[in-house]
Amino acid sequence: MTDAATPTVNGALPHNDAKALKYYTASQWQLVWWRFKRHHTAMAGALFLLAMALAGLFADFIAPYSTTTRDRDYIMGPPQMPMAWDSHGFSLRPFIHGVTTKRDPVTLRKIATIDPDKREYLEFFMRGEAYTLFGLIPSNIHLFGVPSGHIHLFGTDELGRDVFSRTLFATGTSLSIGVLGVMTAFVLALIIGGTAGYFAGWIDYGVQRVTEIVRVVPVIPLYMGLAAAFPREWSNIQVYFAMTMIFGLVGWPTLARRVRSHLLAQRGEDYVLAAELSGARPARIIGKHLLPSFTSYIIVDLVISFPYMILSETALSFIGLGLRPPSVSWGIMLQDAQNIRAIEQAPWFFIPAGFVVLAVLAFTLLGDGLRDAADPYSVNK
Amino acid sequence: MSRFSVKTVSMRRGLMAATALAGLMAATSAQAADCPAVTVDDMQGLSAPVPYQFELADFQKAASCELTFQENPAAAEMNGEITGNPALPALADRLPKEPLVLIPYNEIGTYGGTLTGLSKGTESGTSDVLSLRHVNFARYADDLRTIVPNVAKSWTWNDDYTVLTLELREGHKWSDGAPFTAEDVVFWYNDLVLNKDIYPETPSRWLFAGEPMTVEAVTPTEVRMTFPVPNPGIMSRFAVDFGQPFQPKHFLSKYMSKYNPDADKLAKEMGKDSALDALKVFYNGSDWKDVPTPLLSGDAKMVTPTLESHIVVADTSTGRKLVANPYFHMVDTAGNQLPYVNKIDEEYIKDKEVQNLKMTSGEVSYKGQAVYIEDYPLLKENEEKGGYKVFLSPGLGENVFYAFNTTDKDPELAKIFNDVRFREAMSLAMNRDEINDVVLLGQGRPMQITPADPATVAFITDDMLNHMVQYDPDAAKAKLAEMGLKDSDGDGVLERFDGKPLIVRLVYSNQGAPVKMHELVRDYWSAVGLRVDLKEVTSDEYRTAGNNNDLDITTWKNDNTSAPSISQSVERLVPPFGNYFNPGTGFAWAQWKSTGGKDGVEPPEDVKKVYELAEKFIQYPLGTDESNKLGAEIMQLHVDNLWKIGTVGDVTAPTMYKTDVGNFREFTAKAYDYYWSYPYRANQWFIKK
Amino acid sequence: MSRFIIQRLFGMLVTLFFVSIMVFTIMELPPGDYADRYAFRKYSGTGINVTESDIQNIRVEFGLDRPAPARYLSWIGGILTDFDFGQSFAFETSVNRVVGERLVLTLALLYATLILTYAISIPIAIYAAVRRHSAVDYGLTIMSYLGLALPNFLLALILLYISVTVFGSSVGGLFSPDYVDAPWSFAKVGDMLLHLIVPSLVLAWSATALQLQTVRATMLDELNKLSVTAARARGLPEWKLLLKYPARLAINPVVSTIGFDVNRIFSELPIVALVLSLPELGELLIQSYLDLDMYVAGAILMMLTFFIVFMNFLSDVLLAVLDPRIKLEGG
Repeated sequence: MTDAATPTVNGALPHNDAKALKYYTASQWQLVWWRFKRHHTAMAGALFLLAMALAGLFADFIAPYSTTTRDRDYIMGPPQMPMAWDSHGFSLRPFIHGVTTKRDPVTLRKIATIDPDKREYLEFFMRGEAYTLFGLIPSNIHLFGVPSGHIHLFGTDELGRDVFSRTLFATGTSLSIGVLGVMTAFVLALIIGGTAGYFAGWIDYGVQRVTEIVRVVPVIPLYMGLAAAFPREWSNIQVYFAMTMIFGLVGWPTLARRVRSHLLAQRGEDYVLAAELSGARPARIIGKHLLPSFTSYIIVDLVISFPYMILSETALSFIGLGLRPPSVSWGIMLQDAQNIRAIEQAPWFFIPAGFVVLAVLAFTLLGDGLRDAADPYSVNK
Repeated sequence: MSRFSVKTVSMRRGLMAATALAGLMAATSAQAADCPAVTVDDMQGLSAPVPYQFELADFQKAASCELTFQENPAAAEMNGEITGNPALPALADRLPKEPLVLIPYNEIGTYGGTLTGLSKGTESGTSDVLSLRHVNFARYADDLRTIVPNVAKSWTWNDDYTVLTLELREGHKWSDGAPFTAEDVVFWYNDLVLNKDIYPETPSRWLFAGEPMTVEAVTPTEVRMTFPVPNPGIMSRFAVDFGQPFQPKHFLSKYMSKYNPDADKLAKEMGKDSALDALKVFYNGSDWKDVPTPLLSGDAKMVTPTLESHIVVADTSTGRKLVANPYFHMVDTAGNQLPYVNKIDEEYIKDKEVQNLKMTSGEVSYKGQAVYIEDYPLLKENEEKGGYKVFLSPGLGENVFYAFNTTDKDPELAKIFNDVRFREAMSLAMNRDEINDVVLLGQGRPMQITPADPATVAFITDDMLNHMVQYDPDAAKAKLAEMGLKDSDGDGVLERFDGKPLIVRLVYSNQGAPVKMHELVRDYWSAVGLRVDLKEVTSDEYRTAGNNNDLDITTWKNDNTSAPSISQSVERLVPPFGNYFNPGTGFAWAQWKSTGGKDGVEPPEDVKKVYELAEKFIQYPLGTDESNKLGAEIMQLHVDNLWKIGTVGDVTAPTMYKTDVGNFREFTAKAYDYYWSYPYRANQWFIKK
Repeated sequence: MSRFIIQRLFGMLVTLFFVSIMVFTIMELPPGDYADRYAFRKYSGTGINVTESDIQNIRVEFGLDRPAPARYLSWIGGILTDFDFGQSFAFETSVNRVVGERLVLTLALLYATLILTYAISIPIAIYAAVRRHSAVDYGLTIMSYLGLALPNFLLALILLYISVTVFGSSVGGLFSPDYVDAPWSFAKVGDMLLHLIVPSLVLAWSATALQLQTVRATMLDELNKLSVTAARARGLPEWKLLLKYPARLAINPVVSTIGFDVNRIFSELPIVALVLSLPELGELLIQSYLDLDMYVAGAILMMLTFFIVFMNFLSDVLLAVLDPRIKLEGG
C-alpha cells in the first residue's frame, strides 16, 4: 500500500501537480485506503479489533493462567488492580495487596478481605503454567504474574477460574467464529443473490423461493435438530468448523435478498447495458460493475451480521452444542453471568459482555469508515 | 421477639374469649368445661400421646372438656367455587364424628389469606406445593421417627406383619360431601390398581413379592389388607407416599359399566367414546396429584373429589388455584376447622433465576424444593428486604452420585465400566474436599454412597462411608493402567480396547444436582484420561434416556433412601438401583431378573446376592437385629462394588418461608423422603394479618 | 399490478408447500419419538417395567409407526381440510387448544415489537444520517448496538431485575397479582401493557440496530445523489426534501425484510419469554420440541412460517408500490 505521501484533495503543498497526478491515476482501492486513513474513528475501530485479535491469538502468553486453572482460595473474588503506591508509599514495581478469604458464618458466602500491609509484586515474563503457542511452540513464559500468589485482573468465577485469562481465550474463539461465519455467509450470499438479481426471471424466481424457505424457518429448532446430528466423537476443532458452517448456512439469505433486490433495481441502468453490449460476461458485470455500486450495503450487512454470529454461538452453547473445555467463548462465559447471584454479588462476570459490545462497536466504526471510503469518487465528504 | 409474643398472647386471649362465648351460646346445657386452646409452645400441662395431635376423645378426656367447633367464615363462599359441590351443610355435618385435633405450634391461627408457591410446570417440580395439602393414612411427626394418624384413626398388625387393619373416621367426607368409607379403599385397589384397562400391567409397587394383596372392607370404617409376605414397612409408605390408597368410589364408579349401566351414555354426554375414556378423564393411571386436571384439558368442569386440605378450582398453563376443602377432617385445639389458609396459589415459573427473584422480592410464601445451596448467600442477604426467612436443615439423600452404566449399550464401554477397578479409579480421581468447598459452601463432608441414608439407619459404619473417598489421582491412574487402558497417541485421552478414544457422555438435568459439580467432576476425570462431554437436558429427557438405558452415566441426588423409603421397597437396593424418577445403573441386569433370565444380561454374583438379601430385608421391621444384619451386608456389597460413586454427604439444604406465615416451625430435615412439608403440618399454618 | 399480485400469491403457495415439507423434516430431525417418553411418563411412579413392546403399542396407538410420507400427508391433510393440527401428546388434548391459548399473546408481542422497532429506528436513523458524525449520531449508534450486543436473556434478566428492585413491580407474568382474577377493565389492560413493556423493549432494542444501521446507510447514499442536490438547489425546504426522496427510498430495504424481521424476533422470543414467564408460543415451541411433542412444535412452526410468508408477500406488494423501479415482471 501507499506511504506517508498521501495527497489530500485540497492539498496546498509544493509539487502540487505531481500529487494531483498521483491522485488522478490512483486505482480505486488506493483511493479507498487513502480516504479510510483519514477516518479517525474508523482507524481507531480497526486498531482496536486488531488488538483484540492479537490478544486472542497470543492468549496463551498474555493470560497468566489457563482456562481451567482454579484458584480455590479466591472463589467469586472481585477484580484485583495492580497499583504503584499505597499507604506505605510508592513502588516502581506494580503490586497487588494480599487477600485472605473467609466464609461468612451467616450468609456462607466467601468474602475476600484485602490486607493493605501485604504487597504481592508483579513479575513480568514470569515462568508459569506450560503451554504450546499455536500448538507448535512449547513455552511456560507468561507476560505477567505474581510469583507469591495469584493475580486476577477481572476477578474469578464461581469455580475460582481467572476471568481475565478466560476472556482473552474467549476473545480469540468468538472473533474467529464470527469472522469465519460471516465470510461463509458472505460468499454464499454473493453467489446466490448475485445470480438471482442479475438473471431475474425464472432463475430469480427459483432462488427466491429457496431463500424464502430457508429464511422463514426459525433458527432455534433448526439448531436443535442439527445438534442432535453431531457425532459425539467430534473433536473441538470439528465442532468449531461445523458451527461456523451452520452460521454461514443460516446467515446467507438476509444478505442474498438484499443483493438481489438491489441488482434488480440496477440491472436496467445504462452502464449495465453498455457492459453487456461490449460483451462482458455476467460474472464480470456483477463483480466489477454492479456490486461496487452498492458496496455500502454489503459492508453494513457484513458488519451487522457479525454480532448475530456471536450471539448465535451463545444460543448454541445454550442448547448444549457449544464448544467443550478447555475451549471457551464469550457465549459460554456470559452463561455464567446469567443469574441474580452474578448481578448482585459478582458484576465482574459481565466483563465479557463489555468485550462483545466493544467488538461490535469497533466493527460498526470500521464499517462506517469503510462505507465512506468505498465510494471514493463522491465529492461530499 | 417479645413484641410478637405480646401480640400472640392477646390474640389468643381474644380468641379464647370468643370460643368461650360461642361455646356458651351453643351449648348452655353442656356440663363439661370448654377445652384449653393449647399449643405446642404452651401445653398447659397436657401431654399428647403422639407428637402434637390428639384424637378428639383423648383430648376431651385429658382436659376433661368438650370441644365446640367453628368454621371458616368464608367456607360457603369457597364452597361456591368448587364446581359440582352442593350448598354447604352445617359444620357438624361436615366434620367426622372424631376429627383429628391438631395442636398448633405457636398460636391459634386466624382464617384467610393465600399461600403462594412456585413450581416449574404441570408435573414438574410440584411435589413441594402438593405436600402443603397432602393427606394419607398416616404421617411422620416432625421428629421423623413417629408415625402418627391422619386419615386413618389407628391401625393394628397381626404378629407376622401380614395382616394390617386400618380404622377410619366415622362420618369422614369427601370434598363434595359424600361419605368416605372403607369401600373407597377397596375400590382404589380392586377397581383401579388391578384394573387391566387402566394398568395393563399392575404397578409393581403395589405388588408384594410379585403378588397382589387382598383389600377388604370389614365394616364401613374398617379396612383389612392381607399381604402375601411380611410387609412391616407399608405403614411407612402410607406415611410418606405421594400416592393415596383411596379414591372416591361414588364419583369414579359412575364411569364404570360394572357399577353404572348408563356409564356409556354418561360418557357420550361428555363427548367421550367410551366409559373408560370418561373414567380416564378423572383417573388416568397416576396417583400423582400434579397430573393435568380435567380443568386444564377442558374435558370437565370439575376435579375428582379429594380428602386433602385444599382442592383445585382452576388449572391453566401458568398455574393452579386451590381453595380450602370445606369437609377437611382436622380441627385445632380451639375447635376451628382447619386449614386456616383460604387459598393456595401455585404459579409455574420455569426459570430458576426468576424463581430466585420472586423469592427475594417477597412474592413467595414457602419454597423448599429446588432451592439450592448455591443461592443461599443471595437469599440470606435479601431476607430483610423481601420479608422472608431462609434456613438450613439437614438435606437427607443429598449426596450426589455418579453411576457408570454397567450394562451400557456400547459393549466396549460396558466392559470397561464393569471392571470395579475402573469405578474405584473414578472415585479416587474426585477431589471431594474441593467439591464440598466450591459447590456446597463447605457444609458437607466427603462421603461414599450407600442405598440407605446413614443418618436414618443404624447399620452403616464409617468405614463404608470413607471407602475410596480420598483424593488420589495417581492411584486412579495406576488402576486404569492396571486395567490395560493406555494413551498411545499422547492426546491426553485414554484409548479403549478397540482403539477408539475413551469418551463418555455425562447427560444431566439441573434438577438432579448442582451443575458446577458436573463441571468439576469432568475436570477431575479428564485429568486421569477420560474425555467427558457434558450435556444438559430437561428432567424428562434425562429420565427417559436413563430408563431406556441410553446413558453412559446417571447422576442425581441419592434421594428416597431414608429409613421409611428403604423399609418398604427394595427399589434402591437392587438393579436398577432406583426408579423412573431417579434411574441408577444395571438396567439389563434388572431385565434379566424380571424376565427370569430370558432377556437382558446375567448379573455378577454380588448382584444376585443383593437380590436375595434385599427380598429378606424388607420382611423384617427396621431396627430389629435381623434387619440390621441384613442391611449391613447389603450396604457393604454396594460400597465394595461402587455401583454408585458418592460425592459429599451430610449436606444441609435451604428452605424459605415468608415471615407472615404463622405457626411455621423450621424443618428437622429437608427431604422429599418425608414428602417435603408434610411432617410440619402446613394445615396449621396461617397468614398473619 | 393485479397480475403481479396473482403471481406473488402463487409464489406464496409454492413456498408454503415447500415450507411445510421443511417443517416436517425439522420435526423428524431429532432421534426417537414421543412413544417411549409417554410410556415412561405414564408409568412413572408405578414401578412397572416398560418393555419394548409397550412402547411399540403406544407408537401404533399414536400412529407413529407409519412411514414419514404417510404421516406427512395425514398431518397436512388434517390442517388443510379441518384446520386440525393433530393431538398434543404431552398435554393430552388437541394441538389447536394448546396453541390457541397462546397465539393471541404471541401475535400481540410480535406486532408490538415490530411497530416499536420501526417507530424507534426509522426516525432516529434519518436523524443520525443527517447529523452524521455528531455526538448524537454516535450516542444513538452505541445505544442501538448495546441492545444487539448484549445477549437477550441477559438483557431481559437485568431489565427484570431493575424493574423489580427499583420500581417494585411484580416479577414476570402478564398481570400483577391483583389483576389476575379481575374481570377485564381499563386498569387491567393498562396493567398488562405495563408487563408487556419489558419484553417488547428487550426484543425491539435488539432488533433496532439492524434497521437503524440499514436505514442510516441507505439514507447517506441517497443524500449524496444528484436528485437531492438538485432539489436543494430548487430551494425545497430541508425536511420536505428529506421526506420526498432519500427517506422514501431509505425505508425500502426495511420494507423488503418485514417478514424476516418477524422470524428474527420470534427466534429471540423464547429466551425472553422464559425469563419473563410469558405464556407465548416461542417457549412452547422449544419445550415441545425438546419433549418430542411434535405436532405442537409443527403447528407452531407452520403458523409462524405462514405468518412470515404472508408478511413477505405484503412487503413485496408494498415495495412495488413504493419503488416503481422494481419492474412488475416475472421476478
